[in-house]
Amino acid sequence: MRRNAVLVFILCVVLAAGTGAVNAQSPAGSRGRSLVIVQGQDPQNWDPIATFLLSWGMVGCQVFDGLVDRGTDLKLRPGLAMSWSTADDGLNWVFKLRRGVTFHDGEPFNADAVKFTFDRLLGPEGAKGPQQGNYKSIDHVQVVDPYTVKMVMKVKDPVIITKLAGYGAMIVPPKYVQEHGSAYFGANPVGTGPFKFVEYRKDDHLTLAANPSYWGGAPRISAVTYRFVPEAATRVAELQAGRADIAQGLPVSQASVVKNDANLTLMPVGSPTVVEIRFDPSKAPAGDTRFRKAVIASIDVQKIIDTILQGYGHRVSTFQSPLSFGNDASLKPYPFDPARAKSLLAEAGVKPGTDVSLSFPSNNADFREAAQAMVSYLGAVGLKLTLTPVEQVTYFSDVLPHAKTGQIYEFGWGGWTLDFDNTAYLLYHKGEYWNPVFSDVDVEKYLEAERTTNDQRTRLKAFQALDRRLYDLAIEFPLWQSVNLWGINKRVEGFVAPPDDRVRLLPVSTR
Amino acid sequence: MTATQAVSGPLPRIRVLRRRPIGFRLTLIVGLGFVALAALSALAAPLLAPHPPEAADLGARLLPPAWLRPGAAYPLGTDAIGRDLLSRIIYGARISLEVGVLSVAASGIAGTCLGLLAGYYGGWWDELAMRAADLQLSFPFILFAIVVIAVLGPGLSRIVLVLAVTQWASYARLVRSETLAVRETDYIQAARAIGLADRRIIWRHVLPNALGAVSVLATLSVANNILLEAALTFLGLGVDPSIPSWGGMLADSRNYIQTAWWDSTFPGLAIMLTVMGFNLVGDWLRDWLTPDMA
Amino acid sequence: MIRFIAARAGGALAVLAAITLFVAFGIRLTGDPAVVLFQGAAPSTEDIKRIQHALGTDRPFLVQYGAFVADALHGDLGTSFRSGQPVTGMIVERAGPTLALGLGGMFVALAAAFPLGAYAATHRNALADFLIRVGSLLGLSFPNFWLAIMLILIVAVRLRWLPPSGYGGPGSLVLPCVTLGIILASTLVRLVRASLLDTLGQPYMRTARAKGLREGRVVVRHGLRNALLPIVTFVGLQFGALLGGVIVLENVFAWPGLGQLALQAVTYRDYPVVQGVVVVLALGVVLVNLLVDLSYGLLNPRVRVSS
Repeated sequence: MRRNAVLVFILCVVLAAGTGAVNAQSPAGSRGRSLVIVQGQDPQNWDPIATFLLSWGMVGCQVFDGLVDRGTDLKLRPGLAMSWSTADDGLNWVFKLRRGVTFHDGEPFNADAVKFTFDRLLGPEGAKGPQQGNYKSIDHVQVVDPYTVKMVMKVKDPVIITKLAGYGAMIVPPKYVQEHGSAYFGANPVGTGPFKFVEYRKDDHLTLAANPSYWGGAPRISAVTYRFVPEAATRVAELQAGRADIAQGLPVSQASVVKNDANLTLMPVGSPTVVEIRFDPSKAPAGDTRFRKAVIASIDVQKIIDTILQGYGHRVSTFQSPLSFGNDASLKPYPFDPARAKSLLAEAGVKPGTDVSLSFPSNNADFREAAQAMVSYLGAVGLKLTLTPVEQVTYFSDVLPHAKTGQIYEFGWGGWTLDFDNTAYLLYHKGEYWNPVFSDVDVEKYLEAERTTNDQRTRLKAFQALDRRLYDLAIEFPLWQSVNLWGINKRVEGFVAPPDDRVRLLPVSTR
Repeated sequence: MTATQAVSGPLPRIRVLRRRPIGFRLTLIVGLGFVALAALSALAAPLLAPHPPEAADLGARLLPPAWLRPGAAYPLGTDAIGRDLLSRIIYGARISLEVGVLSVAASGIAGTCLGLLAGYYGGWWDELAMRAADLQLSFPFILFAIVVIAVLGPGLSRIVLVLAVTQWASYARLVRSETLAVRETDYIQAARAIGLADRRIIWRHVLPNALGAVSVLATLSVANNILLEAALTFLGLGVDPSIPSWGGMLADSRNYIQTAWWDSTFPGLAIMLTVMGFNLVGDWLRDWLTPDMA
Repeated sequence: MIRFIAARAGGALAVLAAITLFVAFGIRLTGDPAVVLFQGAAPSTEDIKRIQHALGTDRPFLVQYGAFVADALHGDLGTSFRSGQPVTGMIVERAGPTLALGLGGMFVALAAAFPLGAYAATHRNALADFLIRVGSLLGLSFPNFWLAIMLILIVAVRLRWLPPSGYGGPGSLVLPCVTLGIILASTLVRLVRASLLDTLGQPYMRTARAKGLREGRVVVRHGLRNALLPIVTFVGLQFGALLGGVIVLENVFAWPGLGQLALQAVTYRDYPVVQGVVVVLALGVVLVNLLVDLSYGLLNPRVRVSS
């Protein structure tokens, strides 16, 4: 029995050593010019049209380029296109392409590659993935000459240029994709970016090597290994042990551990994601504006930000980031006023001890703590709050769209185009996926007014009227704009924490 | 045991080693002490707890225990929401014991019955029960938990249900193997020969023999289920986090292990002592059920 | 014997059929993979319909299940919704790490449990027995994720002896296996002690002693051998539960095994992967249980498996 067990054990050690690729499991000092990044999630498919996950962008932005590029400052600049123009107010766009660029496999980048990319995205191959929906305003792409393409639109799209910096519009190598097929491409990505794909083991690691002939200059680090570590406490441990240089997605509760470590830097960065509580007006007493305003007045959001979020969050008064086009800065958050909350509840005839239920996705550690503080706040004005944490996929795919929440529920939104258009229609137009219940005549009117024009002044006016109407209805309770926390080893120089998780390693070097 | 006595008369007692049984009594005293402490907390929580368990003071987050910070109102410190840790641990006994005991009772009774039938009658009964056990054992616990909680919604009763449904097979297989061993013994054969009814044989002679093993497994499972509740919270399938449960408290405090040790240490200690209590009582029970060895 | 195995094979097939049907149906109740792919982005109803069609989830359930069974009988478990890779290959890739973790953990547990349990049983009710029992409880007294995080913080962060997480090289195997081993050993020590105590009191043990055999030889030769029945049952049970139960540990240790594959597949509602993992898991459990049952006959000649 024992002898067999010893044999089996030796066997499995050998097995492990044989099949496990030895990744960069070495202390910081011995890694030289290569980096190790730990991130929480492995998107499992590196094909740009296959995913919306931010964890794709962490890697994808090193391997691929789009026609347009959006850097860590969120400003648009030329990518594989040197310039673009439209002669007819956005119905046709002409792009002049960069010359002398090659894909990692040696294929030349040219107009055919751009046409292939968009044909693929908009065709049957793209239909299998989620990205296609984002680019439906494009009709097709024409090759004008080897370095010029024309993009013909179905409808005018005010944010099309921003979208061209998105995942789905990353340019892919035609010959490589056709030869190997999409499944192989998804596991062995090839692009024009500053780093080349080397190897990938699912749920374990992915390694990239510098592309010395990158059109934007050679990277200063030699290689980077991404390791997929789902548990945040483990990511912090990897940083502390000196085995990782950059860690993404740290919960606020781990911030001080990183801050107090002499070898590490904590980097907070405001993200486009805003967090709010929405009311379901079909569930009593949330249909009553006075009840909604009472809930809003009873919770001291600033105090929650200062304590539980340790200041890593910015108070918002509307459901969009201050960076977003369409934000009305003149609206101020409703003040914290428990006395007023009590009188509003009395006016609305809500009895003390009334049950209120708050649904939220259970994987959000920071909101989970905030929600527990809200139990105490609502208790102080006589409401009994119960919390219903829901497994996140069930939450987003069933509970939210089918209005199975409590009277109030958490909602977070990352408007990555930074234009309210992307958000407003889907959130407030009755019958949309995210809005199964709420409807208001004025809101529909403003939404219609915004969508039918390309004139930015008219759009802004419509958006601000919409902001005001939603604010008066108090149909939602905007809480804060999220701050993402990154942990960085001090040997890393030139790293800028990206608001949208699209890490840029080109300017990064090691000490 | 009674079975042994009824059929073959009392066995002469033997001692494995001639040592004084310090452990025998110590086991019971210490074990009962811990279990009683947990039960008392659960029953008398409103009388014992210095604060309401949900009362949060955001100005008093993560305060260390009173002996490290003289003059503080919180004997064991506060958690990340500024709630009194001692009060939450006292109230937490309710949820944790409820989860542990109810799920074990349900799965233990169901599993034991099926195991007895399968082992004693064999044949179709055995085949059916054991294939059902295979079915349950090869169904990943987490997958089952997600399906149940997604379809029925989160809640304490759902957690008890998940634990009960995913554990009966262990009892069934254990009891079956004990029954198989007992079935062929001389005294059961003799009991059959003199024409005792099956029901009486199972009830009086087979079940008591299996109870020793079942009680060991059951006490271990109470403990284990308290921990599984923590694992479910860890994976995001737990209950309302404002209602204190030891497992939930431990799962939620994992990010503070390095900065506020008390936040995870005291719930951990509560789990540890209770788990130990149940196990020690189980040990004692086991010894007591097999007196021919004492 | 042949009839016994044939009957068991029939039973196993029934189990497989029942479990795949149950899993395939159950997972479809919990959420739509088409929606999950959008992850916080804004799917329109039209988008969701398009993806459902591409994934084939818009077909009636029985059609989907029938196609799965037909393919599975040819050894094809389908294609992952998420990665676009064949499920069979994904499972093969993950089996190595999970086997290494499971066998390593079981080895640590057995290596600790046999000597400790035997010592406790032969020194019953002495202080050493009490201490071993209480000590073994420590591993059972903390949730696995907490034990894992503590070991990482102490051994990997403070002492820097081993890597905190990841899979690669023998060093990375130690922490996960020891964590799992501690948890399994807690139960095993007590089981070894309990079974050994049972057998030590049996008449044949007295006979053995009466024959004049030395106490150590009696314990090892006769006691341990007969105590193995419940222990083997437990180990068998654990191997089934182990594959499902390592999910949390694989999560904490970023271990690319079947547990993580299963958890992620469930999280993303990747139906083909969920179904595939469950089929493989069920096959494993059925096989191990068959071995356990066969070993009953070897360990205890009085049990006739075919009776």
